[in-house]
Amino acid sequence: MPSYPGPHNIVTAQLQNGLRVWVYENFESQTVLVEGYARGGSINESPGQKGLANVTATMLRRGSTTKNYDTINEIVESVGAFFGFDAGRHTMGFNAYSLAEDVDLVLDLLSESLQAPAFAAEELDKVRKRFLTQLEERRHSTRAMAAITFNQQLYPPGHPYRISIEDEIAALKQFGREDLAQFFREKVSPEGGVVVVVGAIHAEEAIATLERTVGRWRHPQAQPSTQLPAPPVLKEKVVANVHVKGKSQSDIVLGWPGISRRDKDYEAVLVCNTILGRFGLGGRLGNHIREELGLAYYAYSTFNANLGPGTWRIAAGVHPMHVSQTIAAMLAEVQRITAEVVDDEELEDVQRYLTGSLPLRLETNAGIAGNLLTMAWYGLGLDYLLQYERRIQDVNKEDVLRVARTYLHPDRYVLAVAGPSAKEA
Amino acid sequence: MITDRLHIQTLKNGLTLVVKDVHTAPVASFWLWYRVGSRHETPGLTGISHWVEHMLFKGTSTRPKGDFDRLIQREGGHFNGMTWVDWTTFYATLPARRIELAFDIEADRMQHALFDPEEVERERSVIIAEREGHENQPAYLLREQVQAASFLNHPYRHMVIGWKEDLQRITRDELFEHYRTFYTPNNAVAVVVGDFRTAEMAATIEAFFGDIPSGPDPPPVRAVEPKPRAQRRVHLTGPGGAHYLLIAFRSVSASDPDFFPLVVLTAILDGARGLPPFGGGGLGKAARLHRALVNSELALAVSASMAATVDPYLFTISATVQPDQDLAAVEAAIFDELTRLQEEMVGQEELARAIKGTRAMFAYGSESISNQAMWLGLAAMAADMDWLASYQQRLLDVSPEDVQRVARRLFRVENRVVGWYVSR
Repeated sequence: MPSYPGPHNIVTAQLQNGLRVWVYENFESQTVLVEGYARGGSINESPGQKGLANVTATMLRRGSTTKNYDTINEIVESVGAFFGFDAGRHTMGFNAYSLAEDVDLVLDLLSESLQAPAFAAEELDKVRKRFLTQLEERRHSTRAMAAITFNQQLYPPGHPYRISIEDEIAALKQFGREDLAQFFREKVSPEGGVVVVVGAIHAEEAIATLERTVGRWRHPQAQPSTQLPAPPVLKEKVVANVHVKGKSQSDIVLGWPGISRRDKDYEAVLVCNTILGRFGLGGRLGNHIREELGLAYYAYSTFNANLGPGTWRIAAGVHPMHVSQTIAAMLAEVQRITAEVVDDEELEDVQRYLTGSLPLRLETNAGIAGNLLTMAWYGLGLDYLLQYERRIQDVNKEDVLRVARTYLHPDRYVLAVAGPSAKEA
Repeated sequence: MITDRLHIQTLKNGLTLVVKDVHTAPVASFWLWYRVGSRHETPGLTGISHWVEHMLFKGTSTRPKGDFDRLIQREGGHFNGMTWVDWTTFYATLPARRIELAFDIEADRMQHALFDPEEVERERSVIIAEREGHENQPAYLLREQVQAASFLNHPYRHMVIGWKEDLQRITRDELFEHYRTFYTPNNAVAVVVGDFRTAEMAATIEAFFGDIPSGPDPPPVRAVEPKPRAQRRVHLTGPGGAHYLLIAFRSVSASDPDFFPLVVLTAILDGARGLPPFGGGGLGKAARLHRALVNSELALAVSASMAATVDPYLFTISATVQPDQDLAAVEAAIFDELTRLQEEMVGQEELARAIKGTRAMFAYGSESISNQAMWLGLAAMAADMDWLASYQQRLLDVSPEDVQRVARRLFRVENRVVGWYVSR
């Protein structure tokens, strides 16, 4: 059995500022990857601040009080390294990736950006313009508009998980430097956050370097909300069509509220989703819509699980003339997976795939770090990867049917279609 | 280095083996490369290579459709196929002890793919759907027009997916003929990298592939692009949230000595990368184009692109531009940067950054065994293993004079096509 990261080879520590550290040494590589989550993300935006967490994350990379954006880029790119920030619903993510010899340099920059961000007005204006145009580009993307429309039908106005291009545009035009500084100071905290280090560095050195750099970042005033928003309730079928002109193809998203990452059914949902829309060229959905009917290049299902419940969705891109036929095929597969237990062979295939592919997912520092970060953030335990095979094998046919019936409903769903009219295409 | 400890061998039937043991993870990756892509297509049959690649997932005389996917994934493997201008490749990455399954499947479908007429028809509509997905993106529509305007005679002029008009008309027999012509051991290179013993692995591959008969040499690509005599301009309008600009210059082949100065030049304009076109990206914010266009707010994003190809392909610069900005000003600013490369020598510091950045990008990319196998295969298709072995040293040998010479060679008015997509 391969030696996966676990309690025997992951070194843990806690920094002075409350960040919990996991280090996994990998001297087979020449690089070091650092990834972390501070607490506080888009759910902490006030009404009228849609997109503020994202703008704040982008602006963290755009200069500190002692180094402007150009200078930082000069330094980090002179050694071919990367660092950056990204906002999630509940997190402010940070990362750094470099050759092992440059880890101090890049962590110094990362840490300085966290401790003394400039949020310079001139850079904010540039970011604002870029984001405004990107939002306009999304309006012209059938994929983006199908996803946004699905989200809007599922989450009512005012829900923190609701996406709104209009609200984001309105808010973007208003943000000033102080809005960002205040959000960062009051809503983003290292306390209770996690950071993982994977690569060609000794654990002791990694922890000392972190303590000297990001460990000095403190936000004593910060109080990110720990309350999860109420999950959406879906009482009936909801259908929405969005016209996107001048396109050749329509995108379809059909889905339901899903589960959170710590849900006891996580592995059963993972197995069920893999059967429905992942295994082979898109699971049963791919077999039906692509392989049997020849309607789509992509047809699949996916789910996201966060601190709070995410969604479980089916998606496909098809010619506008084939939208109705594709939706019918999607619903037929939902009907089938909620009505009948899956075949023994099908279940075994998927269990073997999910367990057998673990070494591939742990091949690179990025693969290892991504898994460790999820384990650390969601409190899955140091031994999660060692337990993973058993957890997947423990899922039986009845579990698959049970989660399908709990979350997927052939007569109650949100359906969003974005594309041209059949006449146009 | 990626080319250390390579075992290279040619079997009696002409199949080239490239074998390398790497013990960083209990994983192995097998890539079978055929010298066939859009470069080998003739008018009326554009997109046929990509379509043939799709048909190789549709079953053989002994394995029904869907079996390949299932067999590989049941072992925890990951697999797919890709078609590009010069090549088609099929790959599978598996737990190392099960890599033979990939040999078995590839040896089978090199010889026995079915091309069932009903499957051909279903796949016709799948590929047209794939193309229509691309057509939804303004940047794709612009690229297609610029590429077509960039070549008068060479088949690099059409996109790999082909023209829809051809996809509607290509027949089953034409697909099968294309398959039989190009899918032969003598037209292929097999690359395997992973956690195994090299000598044993070479013998195992030989056992799977050694008895497959070789075929006639595929027909040579005769088209040579004539010397360019005229700048061309392409203007599109359509819906969109931004304007898009794409400038293409006829470039150099991988085996041209100027390829390496062009790699350095690309890094100076837009940041270092690994092996183009699959070298990763993300650097470039300190590079010249970003400074001149993005920092100055003329454009929202800008990037340069080059590729290692058999024949001279394209060096491109693309930009995404805010709706209230003037594309002419963006275009002029790009030309200013190119003129600067022609007139002023680049400094040692910029050269050093390009070299160090490339070293880092190779280190990042080499963490993945699949990536190593891909780079080895790509090198075999575009040039050879010596070319890859000397890659980083040849970058170190590039002088400021070399960069200037290549800038003067490429960035000429008659050598370019300028494309605008204006959103309305």
